[in-house]
Amino acid sequence: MSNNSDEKNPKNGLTSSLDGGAQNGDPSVDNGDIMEIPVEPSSMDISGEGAKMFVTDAEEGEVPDGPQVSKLKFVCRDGSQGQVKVEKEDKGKVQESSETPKESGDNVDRKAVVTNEQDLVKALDELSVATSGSEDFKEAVTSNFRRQSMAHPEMSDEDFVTSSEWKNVKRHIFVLSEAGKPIYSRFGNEEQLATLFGLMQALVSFVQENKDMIRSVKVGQTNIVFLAKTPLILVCVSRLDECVAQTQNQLMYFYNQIVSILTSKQLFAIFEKRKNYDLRRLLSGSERLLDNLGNLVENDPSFVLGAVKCLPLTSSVRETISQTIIQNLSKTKNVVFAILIANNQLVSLVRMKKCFMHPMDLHIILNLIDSSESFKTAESWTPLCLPRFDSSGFVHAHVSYLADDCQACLVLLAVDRDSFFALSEAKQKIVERLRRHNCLEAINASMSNCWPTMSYVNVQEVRHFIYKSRSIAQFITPALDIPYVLPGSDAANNLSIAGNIQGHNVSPELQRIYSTYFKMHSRLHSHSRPLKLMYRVDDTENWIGWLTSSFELYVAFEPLVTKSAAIAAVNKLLKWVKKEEDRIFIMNSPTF
Amino acid sequence: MSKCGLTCTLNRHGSGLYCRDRNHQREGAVLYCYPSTTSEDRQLKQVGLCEAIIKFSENFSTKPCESLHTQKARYIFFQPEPGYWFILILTVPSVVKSSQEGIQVTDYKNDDIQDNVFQSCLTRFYQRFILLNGKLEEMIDNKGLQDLRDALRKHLDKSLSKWDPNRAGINDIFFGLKLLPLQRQMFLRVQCFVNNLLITWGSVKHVLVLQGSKLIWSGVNQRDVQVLYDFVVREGIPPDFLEGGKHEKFNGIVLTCFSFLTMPEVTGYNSDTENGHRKHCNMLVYKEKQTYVVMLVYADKSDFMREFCNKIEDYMKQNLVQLAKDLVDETKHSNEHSGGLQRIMSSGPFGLGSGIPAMPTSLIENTANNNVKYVYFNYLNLEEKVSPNCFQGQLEAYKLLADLKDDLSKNDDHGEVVAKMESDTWIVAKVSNRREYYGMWSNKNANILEIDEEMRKLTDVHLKHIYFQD
Repeated sequence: MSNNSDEKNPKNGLTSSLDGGAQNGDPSVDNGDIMEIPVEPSSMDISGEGAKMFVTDAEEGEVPDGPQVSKLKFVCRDGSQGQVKVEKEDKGKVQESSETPKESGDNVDRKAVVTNEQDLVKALDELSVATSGSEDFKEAVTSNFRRQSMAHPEMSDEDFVTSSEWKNVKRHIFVLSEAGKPIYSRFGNEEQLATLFGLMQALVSFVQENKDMIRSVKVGQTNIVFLAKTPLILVCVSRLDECVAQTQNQLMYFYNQIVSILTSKQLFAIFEKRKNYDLRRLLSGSERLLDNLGNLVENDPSFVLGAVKCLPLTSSVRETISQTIIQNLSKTKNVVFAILIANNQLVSLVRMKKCFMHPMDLHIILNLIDSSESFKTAESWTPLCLPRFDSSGFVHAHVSYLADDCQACLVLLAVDRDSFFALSEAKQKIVERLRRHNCLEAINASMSNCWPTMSYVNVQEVRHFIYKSRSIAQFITPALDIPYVLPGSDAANNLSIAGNIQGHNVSPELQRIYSTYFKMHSRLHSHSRPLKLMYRVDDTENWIGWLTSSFELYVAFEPLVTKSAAIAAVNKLLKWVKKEEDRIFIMNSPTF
Repeated sequence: MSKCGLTCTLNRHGSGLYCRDRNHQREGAVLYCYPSTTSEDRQLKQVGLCEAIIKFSENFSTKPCESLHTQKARYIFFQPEPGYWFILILTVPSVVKSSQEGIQVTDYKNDDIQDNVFQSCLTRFYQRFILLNGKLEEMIDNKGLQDLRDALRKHLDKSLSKWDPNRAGINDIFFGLKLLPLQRQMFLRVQCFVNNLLITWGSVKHVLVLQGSKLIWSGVNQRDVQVLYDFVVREGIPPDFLEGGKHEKFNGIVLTCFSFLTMPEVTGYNSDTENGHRKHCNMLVYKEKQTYVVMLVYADKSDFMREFCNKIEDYMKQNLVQLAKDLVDETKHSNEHSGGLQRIMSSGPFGLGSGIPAMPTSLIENTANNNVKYVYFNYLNLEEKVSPNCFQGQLEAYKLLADLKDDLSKNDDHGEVVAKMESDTWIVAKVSNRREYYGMWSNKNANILEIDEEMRKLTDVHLKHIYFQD
């Protein structure tokens, strides 16, 4: 009953097994009967036919998990220890699940039914009580330990939560079920934090009882933001001085990320069937997606702006690329979207008529590509749900990098789960044609240079800017330049960080700039008191935030610029954008 | 604009090291609740939630919890003394909108309640309370729990029934003083008078001198002067007196005395500690013409007052009459000739030394065109100037000021924001050298440069010599 493949590779089950599947030439093994959750055929609107949803080997690692754990539950209720011992050889994982119901799971369950304030206060007291038995935890914790080594494994739950390291984290993300079961924590181990999760659930449900919804708690510079979105509760604890609406928007991305792994249909079905379900079993292997998303939302303005950045290319090259994609895929009929991505930037997007790609969905795809190294080594076939497009079902993504000498990633989203080989063949043809027309070179060139720099834009007073075209939901921002990078101090490296967010390590200067942009963004888009224009002077820069019906502009100026010079510079900048429009944006939207 | 509902709950939160009143803890949980008709069950629920939130927030920060936002309510927390929390619960204003399909959607305007504004309001309620009653902890020690509850009810019921949260805004954050600038000569005479008074009367510890409702001199430390000033002009002196002109016959007498004020005990120059012991003192207000001398007297015997007042009246007759006359002339004069005046404000208990450098100013008010609205505040002398037609009918713009203040407070010392609202109203906010200045224009077609120019003009008119443009 214990399954070895489960333990072999629990961390990256999704991609590794997927790759394996693809290489075995059998990408779509249907394991529909393995799960205790009823997996119903999901209907895809566009295909017309009810494309049967399948569980790929992505969940292979999870196959025996369902029955296994339900048995464990039973064991625990019995209180018999013998059976648990049998599982011991399955280190970490099993131990974790066997401990859960006894140690903290019970507490969580109890808290799930908090009905009045006395219970709530009692739940608080349990915060300390519940951790007393955590000695037994240690082993489990040590073997279970994953993530960015934030926690000290030898620390108990309470020690960990009260440690200064914990309090100094810039930004925590927690995801839990409505029953208070831990699903994800950006730092630390969920099991360790079970009581904290329980408390969050108690707070949410207590406020919900009064037909209200908890939004946020402010403690000094720290904002604790809640998003209760059935059947999940998402919490972000941020010390970055962000506004609540922006943070809630980011939590929405986390929700969508989980939906994109499971589909909302399955997500609801799971919790309808069993409120107490431990969703981590279905998400294991996907934590990297959430981890990566956590880094991206912090460092990439596209999430706040709701827009994507495009790889600068001359319009003729881009035209050739989209034409090539259309030519080679129009015959396959079932490709909904074809997306070419380089450096986390959009190169080309071809869509089926009447189908539209929401920026939120595009970010989910970008995140998937960005966080999966394994795509680089092998052509892959993976199910993916696009929450804005159709949250109830999967589309199937053929993911491959163009070539060894061109690290742009082609994602073909199809409704037919059997089209792997057709798409694989089409991809080869696409690459051949792109190579013939020198497009790969053009893409490579654009990926490696950090165009545009401010010296190219050549508006003297402007140090940095973001321009978003609202109609096409795309934005442009220049690479960071002097004075934000020290001259000579590996400037090229710094530049590439600005242009390419893959580094995940945004310089403090850039973070400061973004933070001011975001602040202005929140004022311009305020729910009650929206602004059209905002000019701001502080110790280091002058700033403009400007919202019109067609664009959104954020500019950082030299500190001593006069207002009239700043206005002139903005006009010059707008002219530049207009001139380069074809190169920095994808202006048309090609269809199959 | 829908009205904010208001529940003010004052909560005794016995936690941590604070366990002195453990035996009272159960009955002492809620010390005060407004409105008093709130059911006990509801009180317990709300306080329980607040305690849970406060406890929960301790997991992520060492700072005290400031606020809880829910979709329909806002909870503002303020911990004035360890173990005591003032909690203000406001209902979020909402509008019911009908969508095209006729479905009614309630739109909650969460931004309409600004944390920084109501934090300040709560602070004022507390400061006002301790001005008249002493610290909560001391009250429990000296008089017991029941007395504290009675005092809170008596005091806060009155304050809260008069308070309109819908009108709260940036002025509640500043809570500034109205100052009267004087010619240097005149100012020195006032100072001389005050020093003389303090030396002659050992039991007089603090002196405030007002001309009408404007403050000329304060000997109270900065932390307490705002709340004391507010109390004096709102309750200490009957309002019709302050309007000036009338009640001439009441000259030369001690107008009112309050024998229940508490002030931080003066123990020398270092009395300016926040946690210092507070001592009871008596307040005497003496009126001569439009000059009011407010004296805070430490005295233990209650029967001493009458006799003491007679003596003070004698002293004042000799020393103040001429000064008050001259002050009336001076204010008339200064209204005619602007410039060369001295704005005075002392910050130490004994005046001198820590005052603000002399700064001549003009005093033209009510002269600018009514389209312009402005607020000025100086953290150094706590002076506030507000245009007379302050933000009537433009509540959104007025609220935006507090938003911008919040943005600017994150800068070090200098900053400026020019903003154009969706209604085409322009707002300029400037912070410089601990002074803050906000202006508002409703010129539809202006551009940013014109507004900048307008701001310059406005500064020249209202704040000549006290606020300099870059």
